[in-house]
Amino acid sequence: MFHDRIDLSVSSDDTLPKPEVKIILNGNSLYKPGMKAYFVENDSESASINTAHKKNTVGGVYCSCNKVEVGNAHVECSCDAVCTCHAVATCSCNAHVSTTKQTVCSCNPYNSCPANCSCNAYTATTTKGGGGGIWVPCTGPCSCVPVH
Amino acid sequence: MRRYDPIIAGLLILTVLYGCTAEADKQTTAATSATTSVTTTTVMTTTTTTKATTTTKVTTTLPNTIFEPVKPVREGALEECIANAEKYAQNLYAECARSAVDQVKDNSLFEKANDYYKAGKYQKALDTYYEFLKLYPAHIGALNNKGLALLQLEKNESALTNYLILYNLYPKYYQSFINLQIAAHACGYSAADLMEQCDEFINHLVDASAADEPGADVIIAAFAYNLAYEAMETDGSREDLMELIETAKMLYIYSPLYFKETGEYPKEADIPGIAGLLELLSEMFPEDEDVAKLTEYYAALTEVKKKS
Repeated sequence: MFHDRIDLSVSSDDTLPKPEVKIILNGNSLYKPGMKAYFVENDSESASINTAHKKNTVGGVYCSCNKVEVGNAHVECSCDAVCTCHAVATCSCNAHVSTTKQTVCSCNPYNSCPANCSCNAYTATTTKGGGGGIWVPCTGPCSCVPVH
Repeated sequence: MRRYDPIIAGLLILTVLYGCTAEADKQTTAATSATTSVTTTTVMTTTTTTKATTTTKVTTTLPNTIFEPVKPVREGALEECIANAEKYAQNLYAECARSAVDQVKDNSLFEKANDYYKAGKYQKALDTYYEFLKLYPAHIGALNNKGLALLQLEKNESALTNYLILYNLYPKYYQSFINLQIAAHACGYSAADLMEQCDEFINHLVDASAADEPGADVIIAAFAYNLAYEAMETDGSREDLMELIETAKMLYIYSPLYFKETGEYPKEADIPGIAGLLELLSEMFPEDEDVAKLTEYYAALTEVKKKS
């Protein structure tokens, strides 16, 4: 039984099964590819996005912070916390610098603003964001302020 | 234009902690099959790389219903899954906070589950992921892959709940958003339907892209691809989905990936909608067979629609 929306055609080791959905339109046969899925490999530090030919392997290490806020459903990292890599969680800081086995979280300004915010300071050659339902990178540190 | 607000959570009263009922999944499966037959399938051929097995299923397709809008398979399913996920995640979070963050000492069950999955033994994979999650209930990889197994078994609402739990636990783990997209789509919802709940995913995806975090560009490409997939099934009739398409295009063309490829930031793409996004993806990944197939598929559907 295969789910037609997932095209697990190629993983990093070429062993994932590949469902193929063929569509006949006007007598012509076409393949409809599935949606792309994200699969975490055994070591939990790598993962693969399945595509037909390109082996796009997502590397990197995901870190969990050493401080959490209890009582909130979200795991939050406090400023300047040093995160130890467990390979099971994400770093929840807004910016971080990865080294081989350790991620230092910092509270640097966001490099982009959500749709309901705008950069009030930026060193950008690109657009500043805000209000349009579009997420816009500022190409540099910026702080975000709500847009009403 | 619509704005995506952060989560306003926690007011829903629950009777079930986790997972929608088997009955709900049966309903999902049945209705999803119906949707699939409308939108796509005439011949479905399934092959595996390890075994020469081929199954063929034939249904009929009416050309003028190809762009049948995706509708919720079961009314209220998304709200129910959101509520279940929030409640479950809170309990799990409290449990994990008490026992500190899991440090995985033995990965063998996870590896075994992944092997089952890769062999197409989805039920065994699912059972083994559950077994592993009893030991490490917040293991991000197991939660992620468990959702894929649920999808393969067409337990779509359970998969949706699973990825919403993952989001509640790790709102910045944007990688799993594309799987959440699939689960929602299987239940008849689009990524746009999720945005008010899950906009942090996008926020962190943007940040990761701006920071040139390894793999972020691949996730953006997959996100954009899946959005194109969803949008073409609605023929661009969903305004909020089309806004997301625009967002994806902006994300994509301002990503470090584009810069690496071209050496400069591009002008804003002026080709609208699904076709524009597909064109952009084709430019970025000229050798990606999936993108080529999807583009070809979209062109054929558009042609059929014109004739009908």
